[in-house]
Amino acid sequence: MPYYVAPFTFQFSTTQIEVDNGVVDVDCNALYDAIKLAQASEEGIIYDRIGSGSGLKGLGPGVQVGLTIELLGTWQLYFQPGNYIARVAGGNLVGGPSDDPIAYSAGVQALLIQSANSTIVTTGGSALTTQEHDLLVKAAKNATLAAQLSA
Amino acid sequence: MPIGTDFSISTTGDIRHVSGTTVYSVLDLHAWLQDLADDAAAAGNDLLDILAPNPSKLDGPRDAAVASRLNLLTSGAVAFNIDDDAAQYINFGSIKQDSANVQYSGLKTIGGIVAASPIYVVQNGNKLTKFWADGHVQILVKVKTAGSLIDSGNVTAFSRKWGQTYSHFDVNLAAGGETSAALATATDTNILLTEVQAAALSSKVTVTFGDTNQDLGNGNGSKLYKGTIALSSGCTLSEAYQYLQYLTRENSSATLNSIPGWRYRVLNSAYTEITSAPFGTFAGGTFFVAQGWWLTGVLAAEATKYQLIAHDGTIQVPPTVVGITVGNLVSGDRVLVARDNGSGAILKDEYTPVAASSGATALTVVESIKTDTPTSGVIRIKGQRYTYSSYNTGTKTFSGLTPSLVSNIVTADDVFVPYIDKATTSTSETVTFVYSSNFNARVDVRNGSGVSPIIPFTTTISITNAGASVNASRNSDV
Repeated sequence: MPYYVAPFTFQFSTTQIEVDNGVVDVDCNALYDAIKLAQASEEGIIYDRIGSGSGLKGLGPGVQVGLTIELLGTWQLYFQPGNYIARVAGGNLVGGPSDDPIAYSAGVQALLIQSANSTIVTTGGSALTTQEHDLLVKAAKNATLAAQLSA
Repeated sequence: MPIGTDFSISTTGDIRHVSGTTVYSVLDLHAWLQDLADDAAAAGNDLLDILAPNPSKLDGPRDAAVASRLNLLTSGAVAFNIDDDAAQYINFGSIKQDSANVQYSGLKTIGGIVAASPIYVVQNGNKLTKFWADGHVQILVKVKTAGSLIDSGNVTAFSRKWGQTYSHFDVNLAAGGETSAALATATDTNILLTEVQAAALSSKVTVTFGDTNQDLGNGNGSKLYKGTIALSSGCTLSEAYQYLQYLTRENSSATLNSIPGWRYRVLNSAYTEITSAPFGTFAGGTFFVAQGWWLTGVLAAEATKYQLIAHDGTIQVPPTVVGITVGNLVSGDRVLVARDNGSGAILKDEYTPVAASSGATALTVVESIKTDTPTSGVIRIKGQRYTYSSYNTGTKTFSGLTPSLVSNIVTADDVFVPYIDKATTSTSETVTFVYSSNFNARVDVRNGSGVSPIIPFTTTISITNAGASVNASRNSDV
């Protein structure tokens, strides 16, 4: 009894999250949203959890710690076979059998873009004020001067 | 006072009570008559002497220690006899008269009864007019008149006093002499109401006679009962018991299936009577309902505090219905409660299915369906969620599957019956079922959508004969 939420098909019998054909970039936030829906679905409720998420703690206005998804048990992300580079970005994806969260798929080179201190910056807000600009320039000058003196 | 003072004898043989309250034995009467019969001349109002015919003879030994069988003799125009009034002052034996066309027989009650328990005697469906004091009786009962036995000589001694357990005993007095009826009464500690209070329960208890087939839900299937006791308006079993005793007490004016309540005994003549309480006894907070009665309207708190006996004689004990409740939910939560496999996981292979085809609306399983299976609910077949409307333990079949099977089912497929398996729209979910034995269940509460998804809540609970309850922990997920 698979469960589908675009672009992922959760195969509970094989514990694989199949990525739709043609999709080469997976965003961790979208993936985790799909995981939460799948494991709380009519199909998924009778199975153990698929993954757990951590992070997304606020660091200040518009800035959060990045998301880390740990795939539980034998769950893995599976890209459709083909000659392409698949990318998983927007957070960290860990876990899976032998700590391998990506299942082998013929011809696919999976690129996990991970970070030890990933952050998420929310775009938006307003331009610097004159005072902010001046402070920023002054700080940059000071930093440059300090570097020259220490050299 | 001598017996001669209390009785008179006419020249035609009429022996009548004229004064006094002393009760004499049959042998006393015979001795007195024989004493008069050898007198040279009659005197006073006892017109019997040696010139008159022999007034009496004993059918049996003359023994003051045993009840005497007296014959009052008839000779020509002289027919020695007593009347019903005179009979009230004679006991310990029997008297035949009018050439044995009339007979009074002795009735004596024995046994352990509450002091001064009132006793009444029923003959041919009617209460005899009491001429005796409360407590054990030793009386003469007219059992034959105009040459015919009244109801074949049968009488029943009853004692049914409000506040005491009841008792009755059938005897046949046709043979004469004196027959004992054993009665036993005791203070009924389950009678807590006054008669007036009990009478007021008529609005809460309805007694209906007639066949009804009912399933108590205890796994024994439908059974035939011959009558229904319906409780309503919060009537307790204790109140019901008291009201039913009220209906059958000595002074009852109720009619039960055309039988006066004061002599109502049993629902069906083939049943064993419960003399102390015709509708059943009450002990230790449990109502042991008499055979044949179906009881309905029992309060949930007393759901297991009674016991029935079906028409076929089988004791029917109500099942212990327990519930599993999962609380602290919000609408949209998906809740699953299913039997634990012993390792903290769901027992998904609870049943082995018999192969079935796609489109079928019933599924038979190999194993016996557990008695603690909800009467209707959800069944997971090959992971797919279906609802079933009923099941048959005999055929081991779940019926009324919705939707119909979406795929062919083979014996290797998993089948299990969750206790709760739904997306809630409430703050709690409860399922009730018949308790069989303790078991563990796994509880899952998940919500991955909306504004506040939660970290999946999983726990294991133990279901006992008190059921189980658990509140989900709601920790926000990222």
